[in-house]
Amino acid sequence: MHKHLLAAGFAALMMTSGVSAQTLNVATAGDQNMVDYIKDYLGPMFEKKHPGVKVVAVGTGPGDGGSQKIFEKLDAQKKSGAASDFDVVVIHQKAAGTMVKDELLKKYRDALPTGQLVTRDTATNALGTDVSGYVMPMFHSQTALAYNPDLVKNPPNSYAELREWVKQNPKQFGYNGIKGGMSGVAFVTGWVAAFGGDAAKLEKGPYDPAVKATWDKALADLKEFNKNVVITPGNAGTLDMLNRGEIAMGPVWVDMFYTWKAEGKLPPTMRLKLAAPGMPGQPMYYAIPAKTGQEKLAAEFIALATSPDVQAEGIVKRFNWYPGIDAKNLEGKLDQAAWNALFADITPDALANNGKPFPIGPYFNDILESYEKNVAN
Amino acid sequence: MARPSFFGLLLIAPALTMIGALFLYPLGYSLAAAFTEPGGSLSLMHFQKAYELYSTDILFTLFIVIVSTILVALFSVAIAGILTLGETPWLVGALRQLYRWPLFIPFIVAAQCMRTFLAKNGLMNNALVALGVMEPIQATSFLDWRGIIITFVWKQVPFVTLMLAGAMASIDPATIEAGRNLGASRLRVLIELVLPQVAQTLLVGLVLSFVTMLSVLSVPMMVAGSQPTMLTVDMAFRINSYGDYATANALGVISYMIAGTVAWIYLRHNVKREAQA
Amino acid sequence: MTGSHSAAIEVSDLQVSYGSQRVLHGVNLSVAPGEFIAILGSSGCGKTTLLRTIAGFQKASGGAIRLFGRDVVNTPPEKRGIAMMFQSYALWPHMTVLGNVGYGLRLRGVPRDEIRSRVASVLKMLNLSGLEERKVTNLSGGQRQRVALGRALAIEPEILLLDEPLSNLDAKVRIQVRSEIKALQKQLGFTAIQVTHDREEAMTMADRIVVMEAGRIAQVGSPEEVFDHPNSPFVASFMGAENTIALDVRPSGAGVEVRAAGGSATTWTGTAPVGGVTAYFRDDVASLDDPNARIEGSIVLPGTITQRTYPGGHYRYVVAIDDRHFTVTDSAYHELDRPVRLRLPLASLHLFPTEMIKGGNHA
Repeated sequence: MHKHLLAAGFAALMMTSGVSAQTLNVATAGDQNMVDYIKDYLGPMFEKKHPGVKVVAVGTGPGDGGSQKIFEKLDAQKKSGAASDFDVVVIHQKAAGTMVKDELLKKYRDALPTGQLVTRDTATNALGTDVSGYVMPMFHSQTALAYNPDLVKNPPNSYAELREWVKQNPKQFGYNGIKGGMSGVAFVTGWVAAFGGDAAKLEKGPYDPAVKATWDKALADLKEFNKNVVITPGNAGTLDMLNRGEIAMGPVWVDMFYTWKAEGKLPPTMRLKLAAPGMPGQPMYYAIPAKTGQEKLAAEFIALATSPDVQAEGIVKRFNWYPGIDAKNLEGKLDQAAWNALFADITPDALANNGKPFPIGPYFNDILESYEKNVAN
Repeated sequence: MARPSFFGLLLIAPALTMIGALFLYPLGYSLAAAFTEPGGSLSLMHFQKAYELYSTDILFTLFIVIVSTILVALFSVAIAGILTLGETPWLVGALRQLYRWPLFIPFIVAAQCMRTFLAKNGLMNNALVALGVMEPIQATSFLDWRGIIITFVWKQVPFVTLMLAGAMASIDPATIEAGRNLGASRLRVLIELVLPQVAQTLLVGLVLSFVTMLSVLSVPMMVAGSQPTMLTVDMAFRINSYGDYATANALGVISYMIAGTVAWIYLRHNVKREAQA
Repeated sequence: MTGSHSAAIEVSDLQVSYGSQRVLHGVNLSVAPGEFIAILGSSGCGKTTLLRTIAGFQKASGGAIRLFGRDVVNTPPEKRGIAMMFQSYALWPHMTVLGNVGYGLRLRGVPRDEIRSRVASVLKMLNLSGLEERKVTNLSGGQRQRVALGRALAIEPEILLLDEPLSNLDAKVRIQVRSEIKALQKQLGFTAIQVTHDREEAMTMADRIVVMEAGRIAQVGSPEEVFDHPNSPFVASFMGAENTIALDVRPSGAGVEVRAAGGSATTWTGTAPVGGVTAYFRDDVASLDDPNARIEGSIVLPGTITQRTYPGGHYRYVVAIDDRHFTVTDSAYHELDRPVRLRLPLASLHLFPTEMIKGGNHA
């Protein structure tokens, strides 16, 4: 069914294309805030610099599912030999890898003026696939442990310390399992990376189906660990319970954490901790479909979106995401307060050391399913 | 009259097509997907997987829905009973005005409200503490299986009550008076004289509630954590995270079977009644 | 009557309102133990309200109801210990005959075996033996009526209220059940109040009749008293005296002289209000006579027969006198359009001063 709905959406999109002299179609996966960001902030800015150009943003739905829909559309157009409807796509890591392998994207980054500002290795490696040149990170989002310093004087520095802390403070740690949003998933993959053996292999591959058997001990421990934790309802549920003082600590998305704080939904005293060996985060990528007819305009759009000014004002200040380009390029563009707010708890160093990518696709699925089988059931 | 005319068929064709396209086809498709393995041959492998991963959740779902149905029955009988047998006009009036409200609130909004209401430091516990009924230290969060049950009951009681109160209003009021006249308290009148006369309606309401609760996604997703959780959440997760429609469909078939069992109990009761009449 | 403790039911100054509308305006009634009372009245007169208030289903807004001296006006119906039989019978469709009849005993904690035997004897009394296990939905109207009666009697009540219990039965069964109820009441000795709009039913069953009008008791008395000596035009017409005629009464010697418009004067030794009087009479009181007859103690009016029917046993005529029409029952056959004299024996007329009947149309 959803394909038909999507088709209707695309049809509506194409009808609007004829109106302006030039239309730049931007398809984005993710929540509504992604669409709003392009429609209300980036689009108008780009249109001002390029008179006669109209930016049209279309959302394809949250999570990997949204990126999957973009993939399905581009794939179908490639197979039928049609030109692409999208000029710029905003996608998750998993789909980016697949699209690069299937040659659905242009290799554009090397020619991009802002291309050199990127330093993180997620710009070249998307869950095990080499994507260098094909993608530009729009932002990084990161998971970390949020805690209430009134209740937790010395936050755990590692997963091992956390395990001890939970033993001594039962029902004070909460996370949302793996069905209630990605912050819980991030916590679980972090756990497997910490206690399950070869963490690097999970990030880089190659995939070996036998590896999952080595996680049994780690997952049995997690089941034990779960007896003393609260399973919260969703990403927001963890923050809710932190806010009400019902739990003292839990994994959250950093951007959500800051947004809630800014909106007064969390006390300003709340702090973050990125425990060793690390918790995963993920970028969203800007990419250009191979069959677009607006290659130049698309590249200019991405160049604007990844310029230090836009990254500072739009990504960091507005949405509390970590910048897609190296943070040091933002110094001077950002007032000190905004800079401090973002990097006070998690220093750029800590982010570099403990900010991990998610495991590669097959391991990722194996972790989720093993969790369902061994921990949840 | 007996021979179907061409125009008659033409008239119902759109409806038939709709049922076929929007209901029968997807149903058949999901059944087929649940019972075939990737190669295309028949297999129970998806059920085996569903059992391996979600046996706890199957039991949890049954537990939640059965307990909720029982509570819905108790509450709706009590409310409909007060509406029918109550003798305090302002109480009956107020109850009649109030009880329907949750009917007009969607499950997802109800779930959202319950999240703030039932939390450890939520509205309910705060009110109880403020009233001096409870010490702050005793406050516990109800955002687990209890929260799901409370939300379901809160949402479904008005529905069943509406049906039940309507049925009770249409029985001969003299049958109630005859009971009281012979010395039956209002409680006995409700249980021994009124309820048996509206049992059919109660059963229908409960069956519909049972199936509704079985199929709600938002409440278990929002009110409680995911371990354990209800089958709807597992189905959504299976699709969203793995794109695994086969196992999701197998879980769907398990839901059909649970709903089907209830429907069968209902039908059997119906047949028995008709045989007696 | 005084508020003696010997009364089975004593209703004093009972007032009942539906919202702001008052339906009973201070009713007083005393019923002796073992007495059978019929409350008679047209629909809307408050007779059913009175019964339901005694049973406890309707709240009184003033006054008292005493059962054997115990004031029950604020007692819920289940604690009043009165049995009642409903117009719709109100049998419980999900129960058998045994379940229905035995329910009152079950409520009283009677053991199962005893319930069975007591229900059996009640059913025997009502000629329903052997129907214990029958569903009440599978009974005929008459059988249902008896089951309803049996249910009320099974608890051996001291007081039984009957709300138009026979109105749903066909005529033949009704007459039969009428005497059965009366016989049972004599045999078992309970006090009964029956509400009815059927005059004959009230006359044949009751020891005393209560006629109600617009929320008040119009007259209480034995059937003979109420029938032969109605105390108001309303009671007179309700008891069947639906013909009216204006008369002029003057004192004359030892008695009175009575004259009707268009008729000759008659002297009479009976007592009658003096002045303008309206006479109420039933159609079997009048008779048709030879045009020239002149009888002491009777008003005789010349008229013409305009219609004749034969309902059986006697003829019923419509007699036109000037522009007025009267129905008359007479056993003799008369030709139509024949001049006759309508004879009205003064002793059988109900005479009320005309000014008492203000604007009321009781015909």
